[in-house]
Amino acid sequence: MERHSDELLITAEALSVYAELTDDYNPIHMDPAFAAGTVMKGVIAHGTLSLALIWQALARQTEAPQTGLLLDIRFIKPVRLGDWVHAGARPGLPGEYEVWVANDRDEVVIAGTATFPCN
Amino acid sequence: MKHPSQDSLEHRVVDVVDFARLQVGHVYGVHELLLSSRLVDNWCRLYRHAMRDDRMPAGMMSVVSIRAFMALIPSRPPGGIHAGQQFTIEELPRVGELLHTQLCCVRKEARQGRLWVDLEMECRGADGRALFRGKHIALWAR
Repeated sequence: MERHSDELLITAEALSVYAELTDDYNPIHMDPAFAAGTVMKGVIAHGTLSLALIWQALARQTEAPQTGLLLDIRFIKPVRLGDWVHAGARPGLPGEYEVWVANDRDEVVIAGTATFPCN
Repeated sequence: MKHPSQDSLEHRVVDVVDFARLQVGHVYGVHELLLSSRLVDNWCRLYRHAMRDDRMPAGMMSVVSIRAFMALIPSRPPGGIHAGQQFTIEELPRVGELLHTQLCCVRKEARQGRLWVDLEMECRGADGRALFRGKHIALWAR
């Protein structure tokens, strides 16, 4: 099945690549043994790993320009190893898109808005 | 007389930026990052992103801001949570540019048992032109 650029499978390799990109090697993202002993009870992905998909969704699913855009999101739920996450964008209030990232259980993990300046 | 290692330990303990030590209005410094083609290529492979021009993919604003955050406030109490994020784009930088990201604490508030901290980031090119701004919304651990 073809997957789009606004979707991502959360693998250990993806987390490793993202840790190198961001220089964020927090063991909660990297070390299963460490993460199992935390309140998260297992490895979770960097929040911004999934956030990036929203930009891809805005580019692919809308004609929204990027310059001047205000993206405002909250991290709702942790993303786990093995999750498939996908991002979406749909028109909301005038001048605004509702944006989100959801996992393959249709749970929203990131939610927010992309707002464009008034002309 | 203190052993030099004792000075180092005390320095490390004092250096942890807990909630009490955060200062609203304090600029934690400016982080430099070369937006190398290697960095961008690794990003594009991870996200299957097709570059349309020589501009940084918008999602990489997180890379720039997280690197600045990790470098400019390296000693944080463990257990903090990245609760939210804002970004505003003026212009996306070009691959090969040297980026300068300033980090400033703009809010801290203890509310309903949680320690909220907003850190604003402003990224500029080497020529000083504004590129993008971000706000890292965090729950500080203590």
